[in-house]
Amino acid sequence: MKDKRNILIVALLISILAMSIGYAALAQQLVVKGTANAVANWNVKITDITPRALTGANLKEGTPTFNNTSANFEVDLEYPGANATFDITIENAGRVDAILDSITGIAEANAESPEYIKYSISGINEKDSLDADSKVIATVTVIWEDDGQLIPETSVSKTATINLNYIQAE
Amino acid sequence: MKKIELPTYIVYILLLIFTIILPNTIFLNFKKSYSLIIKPLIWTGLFTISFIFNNRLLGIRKKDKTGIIKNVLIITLTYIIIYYSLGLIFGFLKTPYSHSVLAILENLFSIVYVIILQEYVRFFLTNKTKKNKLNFILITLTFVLINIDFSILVDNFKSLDLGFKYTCSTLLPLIVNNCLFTYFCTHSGFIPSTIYRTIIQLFFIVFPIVPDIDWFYQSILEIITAFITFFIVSYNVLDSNKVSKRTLKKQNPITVIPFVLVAILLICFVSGIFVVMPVAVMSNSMVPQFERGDIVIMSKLKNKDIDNLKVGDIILYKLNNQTIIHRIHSIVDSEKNIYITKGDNNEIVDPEQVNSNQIIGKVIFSIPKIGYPSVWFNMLLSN
Repeated sequence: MKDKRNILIVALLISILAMSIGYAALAQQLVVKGTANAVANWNVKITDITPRALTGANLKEGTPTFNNTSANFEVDLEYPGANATFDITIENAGRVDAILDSITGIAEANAESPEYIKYSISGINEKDSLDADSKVIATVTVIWEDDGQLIPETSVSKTATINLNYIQAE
Repeated sequence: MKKIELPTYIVYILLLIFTIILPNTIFLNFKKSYSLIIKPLIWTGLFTISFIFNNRLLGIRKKDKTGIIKNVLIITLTYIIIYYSLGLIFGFLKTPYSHSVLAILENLFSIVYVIILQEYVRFFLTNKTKKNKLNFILITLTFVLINIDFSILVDNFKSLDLGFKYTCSTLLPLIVNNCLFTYFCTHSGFIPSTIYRTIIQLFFIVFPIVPDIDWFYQSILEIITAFITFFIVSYNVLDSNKVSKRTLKKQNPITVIPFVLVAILLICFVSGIFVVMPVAVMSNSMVPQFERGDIVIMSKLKNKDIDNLKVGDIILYKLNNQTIIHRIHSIVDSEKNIYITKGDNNEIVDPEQVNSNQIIGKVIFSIPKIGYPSVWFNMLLSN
């Protein structure tokens, strides 16, 4: 029994080592979706979302909303040139300094149809630091670009999922 | 009767003041310096006092202690392998921890070093107090409070559904794990619980990814692992105490394997991993076919199955974050799979058409009344 347990421990350690080697070799092929938030000492979260400016835009009832990790808004843009701007407050309430590693989702959303609806983000940039116990406001704008296109007969919608990936500052 | 000595009281009172009260009041102003300097310093102090006054031996043979440590090591490594393998199914997330050498050392110091000291202090308290239920609960509760992040507690109880999620995903595993760690410290010293906690944290710190597992599965995995560990270690403890063969046979962890397997299968079934899953009926719109409080067993549909749906089938679909179970009344477009649905108990058809992207499954049969707990719980959340 004693020897069997020793063999089992060695086998498990070898398996973990093999997994680590496998990860190093195949890291590019793994599906990595974003950054985990629920870890010790780490608490970067969204604490507010407020509409700053609405031009020809109607907020849908019940929006904007937010929780610790996501902020949502739904607007109806009525005509070309209409736009909506939202201020999203991000707070580092944890005990580890953070930096914004990457912002993803803007380019992907803008490439999708209908292309005349564009998203943009300002107020934050990649590699910006967010120290423990500090806040930053990111401004997200959605605009129906007025480039002379015909107004569609039926309503169209476009969704953007913008990810702000914060990691520990070195 | 074991009399509680003064140093034990001192350690316990210091523990309450410096690890529960001050970190959530005065120390809230010292964000980074708290986790990097103040917290390790506090635990070093508590460890030092505990170490000096811990003059009582555990009364367990070295051979038995080694056996328990090996079993805990096997379970923890198996947990890590299963946990990370689940990422191949559910995908992975990057951990926010930096992987520079300095950051790894910093995290090891602020997290792993503190875990080791915490477990020694827990061991001191269990070793110096009488082994009864009250002390067990008191020590466990104290360490649960120590490990709760009070700064996010209020946010997580803003609504009942958030509170339920936080309770199931964080508080429940925390309580179960701390019961296990206190049990370890009471019967086999601080090394097994230190190994259990340290190895898991080490992987979070050193490995750049974690599986993107739903909180429900994560919580179930943690709780089941804790129970399996408890059964195996309690068997080791009984074995070391030289109890009768009959008692030992009764407590053999192999006897709980069928229950664990049934529990896992049931959880997988309820959570919808299999092709069929149960869904509780929340309204009376399908009376007399089934009514509020019944459970319908639904088979999940793939695209080719949706092509074969016909008028009269009862489908489950999503509409504006709600799940609706209604019958297909007519087919608007058989190529694009657009349907009109209607509840059997409703006078008119549903106002919105249903497309294939919204359809989740098709009802196979129903079981009366057993879904009432879900209905009551849903009512509670809605209120």
